Amino acid sequence: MLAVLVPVLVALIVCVALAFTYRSMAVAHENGDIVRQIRGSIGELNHLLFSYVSYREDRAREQFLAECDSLTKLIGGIHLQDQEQQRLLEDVRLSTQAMKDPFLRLVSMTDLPGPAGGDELSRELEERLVGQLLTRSHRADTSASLLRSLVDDEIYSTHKRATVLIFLVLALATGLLTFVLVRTRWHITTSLAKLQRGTKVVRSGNLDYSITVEREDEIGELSHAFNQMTASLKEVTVSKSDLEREMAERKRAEEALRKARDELEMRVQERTAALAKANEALRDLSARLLSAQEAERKRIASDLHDTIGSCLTGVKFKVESALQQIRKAPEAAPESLNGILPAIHEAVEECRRIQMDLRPSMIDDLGLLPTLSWFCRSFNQTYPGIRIEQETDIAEGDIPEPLKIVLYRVTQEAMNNIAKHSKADLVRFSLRKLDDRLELGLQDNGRGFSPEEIHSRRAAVKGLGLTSMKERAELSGGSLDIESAQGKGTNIRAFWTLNEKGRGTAV
Amino acid sequence: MVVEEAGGGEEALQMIKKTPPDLIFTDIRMPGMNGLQLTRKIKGDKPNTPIAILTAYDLLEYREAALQHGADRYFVKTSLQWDEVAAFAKSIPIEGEF
Repeated sequence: MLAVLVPVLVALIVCVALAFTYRSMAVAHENGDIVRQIRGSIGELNHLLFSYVSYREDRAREQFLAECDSLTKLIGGIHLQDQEQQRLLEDVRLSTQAMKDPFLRLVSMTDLPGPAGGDELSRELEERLVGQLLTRSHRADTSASLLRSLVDDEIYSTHKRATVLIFLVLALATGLLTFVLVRTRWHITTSLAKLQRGTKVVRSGNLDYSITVEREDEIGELSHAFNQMTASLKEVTVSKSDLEREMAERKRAEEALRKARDELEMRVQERTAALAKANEALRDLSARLLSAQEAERKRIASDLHDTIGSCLTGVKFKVESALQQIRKAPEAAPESLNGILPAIHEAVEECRRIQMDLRPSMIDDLGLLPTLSWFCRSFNQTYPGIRIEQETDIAEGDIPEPLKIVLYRVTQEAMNNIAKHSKADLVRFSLRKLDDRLELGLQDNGRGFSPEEIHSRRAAVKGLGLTSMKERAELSGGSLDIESAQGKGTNIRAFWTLNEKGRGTAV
Repeated sequence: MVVEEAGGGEEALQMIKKTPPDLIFTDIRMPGMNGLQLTRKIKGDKPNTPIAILTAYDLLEYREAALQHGADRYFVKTSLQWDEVAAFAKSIPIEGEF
């Protein structure tokens, strides 16, 4: 700012000085003109003086006097500052005024009546007056000439000063202009370089970059516009990145959805396969149930034929024989009839046995615990080689009614398996209540079997066997595990939860 | 001597209420209330009423259960000894002849 102000102030001072110089120059020119007129007027006075002296004409006299007045007026109209010039002007004025008096005396002498040129004294006086006039005229002319020279000098010096000042003004103006131009160019160049740098930074991806605006001019506006453009670009870029992120998320979601669908399809396939397997198992079970039912009917039919049937046939023969004996000897009737009784008794026993085998009524009449006790006893009677260790740690009232027949059938099935296949000589039977669980255990010391055999077809062929025990337990809400290994006996353990009412469904 | 017959446990209870008997013979297996339950019920109300179980079950468990329920005697139908039944009947202090 100072760098601009100082040259401007100097230029202003120089301009003022130049104005003053021009003014002095104009005054000098004016004075020069007047001084020229004064010299001309003095020359005219000399000419008129010569003319009058030579021809004594009234016109020349009148003109001389008018010229004198005119000269006096001219001298009065001039204003000079310089003392030397004032002195010279004063000299001119005095000289011209001093000319008027002798000229009037000369005129008065001419106008006096007398012989023309006859008087020596008058002639001499005239000559002296003329000489006086000429001297004064010459002096005025010399002074005017000097004055002219001085005024010319002044004009020349003011011209010179004006020229110097003009050059100075021009130099200052040029310097200032150059300074302003260079400064402006520097500002524009640096601002443009800054913008260019900014463009590079923005192009490299940094959208947080902004240009510091120092000036409120066109470059400043451009910088503002650049910053606004960067901000807009950032907004656009941000929304673009948002869009890209959303698209990526959508893609991920689609991928997850596709995966879930695949998984679901796989599960559906698995379930379908499991269902098909279960269906197969159900069909197999139904078939086995039907064949078991048929086998049971066959067994009962054969049992009825072999036992009650043969007993009753025996009774029939014995009754016929007794009738014959009674006909022959009526007194032997009681004896004959008494002989029939053991056969009838046997038939009744067989009938009861079959009935107990089909459905032990004891379970309904007395409960599970006496029924199991009876079962173990009759098992022992049938298979005396197998010892049974019985452990019961539960009250009859703790056993849910629907579970009783399940427990009985599982025990019956397991014991029959032991008797038929295990070759065991010891069975540990246990029925216990453990907190809220009911546990049935049947462990033998027989030959056992491999785990593969448990679910094999051979086991299935053996009747409902192991699978039916498991199914019975599971259908009544319990679970059944069979542990066995070749030569290490078999351990069957079944569990039911007791705390829920209604658990355990009779089969 | 008057002999009355009931078709089941509940009916027997009704009849006993109407005419208290001197002696009761009951089977175990009956429709509805069985013989053991009936025995327990009668013995709960009138402990001195003599009750004999007459059943086809010749099993230890039934015998024990009958005694537990309060029966006085246990007769098995298939091996019934009439003289034993008569002796039991005679042992009851009632008026008239069996």
